[in-house]
Amino acid sequence: MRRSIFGTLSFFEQWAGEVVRQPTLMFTLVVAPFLLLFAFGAGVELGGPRPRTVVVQEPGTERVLEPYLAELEQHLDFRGFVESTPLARRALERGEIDAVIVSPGDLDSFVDTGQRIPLRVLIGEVDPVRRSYARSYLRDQVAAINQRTIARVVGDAQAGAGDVGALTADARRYVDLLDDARGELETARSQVGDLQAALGPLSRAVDEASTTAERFASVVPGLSEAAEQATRLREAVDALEQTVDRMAVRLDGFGEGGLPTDEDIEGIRTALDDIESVAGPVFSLDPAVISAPFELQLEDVTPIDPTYTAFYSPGVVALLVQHLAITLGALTLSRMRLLRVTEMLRVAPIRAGEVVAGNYLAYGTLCAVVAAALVALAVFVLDVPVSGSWAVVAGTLGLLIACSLGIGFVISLVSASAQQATQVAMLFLLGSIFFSGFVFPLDRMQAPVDSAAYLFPATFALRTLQDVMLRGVLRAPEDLVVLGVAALVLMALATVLMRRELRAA
Amino acid sequence: MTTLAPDGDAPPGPEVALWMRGVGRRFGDLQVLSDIDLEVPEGHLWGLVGPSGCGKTTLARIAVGLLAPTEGEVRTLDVSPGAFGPRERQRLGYLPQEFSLYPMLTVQQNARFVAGLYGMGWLHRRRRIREVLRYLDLWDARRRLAQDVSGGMKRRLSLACALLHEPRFLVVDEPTAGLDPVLRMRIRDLLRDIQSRGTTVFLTTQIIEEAEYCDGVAVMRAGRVVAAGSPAALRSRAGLPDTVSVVADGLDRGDLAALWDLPGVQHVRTLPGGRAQVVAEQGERAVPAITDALRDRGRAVTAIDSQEASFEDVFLRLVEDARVQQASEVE
Repeated sequence: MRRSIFGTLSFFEQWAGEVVRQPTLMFTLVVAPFLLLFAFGAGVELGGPRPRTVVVQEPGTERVLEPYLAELEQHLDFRGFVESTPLARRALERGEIDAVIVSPGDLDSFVDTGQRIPLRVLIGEVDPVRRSYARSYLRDQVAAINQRTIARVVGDAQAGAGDVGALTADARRYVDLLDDARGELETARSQVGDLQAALGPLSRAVDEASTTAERFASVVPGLSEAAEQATRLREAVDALEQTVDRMAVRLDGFGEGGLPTDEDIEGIRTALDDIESVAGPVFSLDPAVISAPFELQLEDVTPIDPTYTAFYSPGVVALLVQHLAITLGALTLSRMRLLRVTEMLRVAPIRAGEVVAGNYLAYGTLCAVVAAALVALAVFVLDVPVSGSWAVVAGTLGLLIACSLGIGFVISLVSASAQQATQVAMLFLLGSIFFSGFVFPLDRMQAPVDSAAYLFPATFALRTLQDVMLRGVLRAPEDLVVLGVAALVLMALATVLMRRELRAA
Repeated sequence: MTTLAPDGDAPPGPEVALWMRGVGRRFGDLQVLSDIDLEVPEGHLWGLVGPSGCGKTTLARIAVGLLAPTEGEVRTLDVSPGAFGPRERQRLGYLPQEFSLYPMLTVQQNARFVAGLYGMGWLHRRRRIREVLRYLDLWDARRRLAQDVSGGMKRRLSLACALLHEPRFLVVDEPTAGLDPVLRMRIRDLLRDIQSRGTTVFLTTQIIEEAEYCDGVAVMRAGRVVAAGSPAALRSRAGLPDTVSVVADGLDRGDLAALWDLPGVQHVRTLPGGRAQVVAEQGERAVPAITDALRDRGRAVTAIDSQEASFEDVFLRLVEDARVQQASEVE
């Protein structure tokens, strides 16, 4: 037992002796990952920039987009108008701009023929992520234009019909006078004439509103219901006009025999009530409600408002720690072979398990120091929060280190040379970057390729660290179980391989 | 004693440090060792001599359990190396042919690392490291990095590491390779001293003269032990004549003819300055006969000295005899 303890500790002493003598090695192992994380946190600005955009406006055509430019400039970096599409396209190909909007020209020609107005946008992005982002972003902008168009049309229609209420009130006053003048032929004639005159502006206002609504109903989604109601309103006004006109004809033809009865007067009042009841809901609604009935009210239940740095830092820490541990593990035993230290170990009274445990102790300590430094940098310098338990963060990193060192030792023991071990360690880093969920979310990967993600300890550690640090909860405790079991299996495998290494050839 | 063909095939007792019977080793199609029979008694300094590539290192590695034989049986300290446990390894020391320590550690740290491997506690380790480094003249260099010390110091550091745990059986593979004659002599004296303290030392070397200082020597050629025994026994077996140098006044043809007629004389030649060289089967017997013969002829012998054939010549003769014998067996 005593011999085992001293044998195991001798690797720690050897490592400590070597490391303190190599400041460059210390720099590479500890300070360099620290600086990488710092540079990442300080320098990376993710998200889409405002695309540099020009509008193609051919000479002599209507500047139909001009009313929207002020608002679009909040989302686009508007660089001005150009006169031809080929000219704009060349600028796009040279990378001088990011998007070209081709003005649709004469809006009426599309609207009048019931066609949707094409809004042509050219982009020249080769990065699939930015390309997808640009498409989504521009689609949002077009949706916003549509929404503002609906609001504008509805507003115009409402403005045109804005005085329907006042006009019906006028008409109602003449109806009251007509009612009072019952039996007096001349007064009744005069009041019917005034009523006819009052119905003229009402009819025109309703005409204008319904024409606008009907005209755009075919091209602007959401306006069809308003158009239907406007049609009903016009029919009601037409019917009232016809009633009053017939009354005037009757007064002229039959004299006192043609005077309006109580039923006539009540019929006119009912028609006016109908007009008001139809006009009210259509023309009193806020155009913004009609154009965009849903309003997004987003509530985020995460305890923090994560920045890009906060979101990516746990992943960077997990990847750096994994890479460091795998590389150290992979090089340690290769180096022992290179220096022929294994020759001495094979003769010495030391067991394979003690060699493996000694190296876990030595390099685990170094990796733990690096991991602690990286977390401290993230938390205290880059303001990355730890919303959950520090103990879980420490435990996750401990398991990640144990697992990664195990992978490194196994790589080292099955590799023929240090170069081969280094190459395999690099492959693990590359694989982790692509598959661990650091760059692409795991749920966006297709089977069976997504299974590759679970070959890398960083996948489990990254997910756990993000949950614990940012969400404050451990959502998948089984990830830690997997890391722990993998660490034990790898340690056992490394011991078996080391036993084979130390056996007589 | 060391013998080439020990009695019986039964494994020996603990009085034999290394015992091999019919040992062979093959690497793929290449047969590196064949039919090796050896016995190295406890407490001896024992040398394995042979040209480069003859299989010395392979044999040494088999002795400490680094390689397993493909044929035959080996017992080191009365245990088969394949069955070595920590207890057996604790009694074994090995100095490999090439430096196999950490260059970025100091002399003392390397020693500390190896002492740890052998389970030595910190206090014991400290005392023993000081003792061994002083013994090997490395104490003053203890804080220097291993990569910065000379080749001789590296060999001594490796030797120190092999001695820290006070092994009963020490295997040293070409300890003097690449060293200057002064350092070679220093290492040789150290090994003799280590042996005198009770450790069995088994060394391999291609420097023939070094074998002469061993208690026992095995001569290897092409993967086989062609002769084994004490240096004197090997010399006798080679049967090489001695050389007697005589200085006398006025030696003439008649004197030389008289020397030719003496029994056992194989060759006589004159040298400038009244000197003659006589090659005789046994120098010790020839010296008084030469002195008497010249005195009878009235010559005053002012100096006479007999020299044995060099061990290098003995080695060459033994190897050549083996080659001839092997060739005749093939025919």
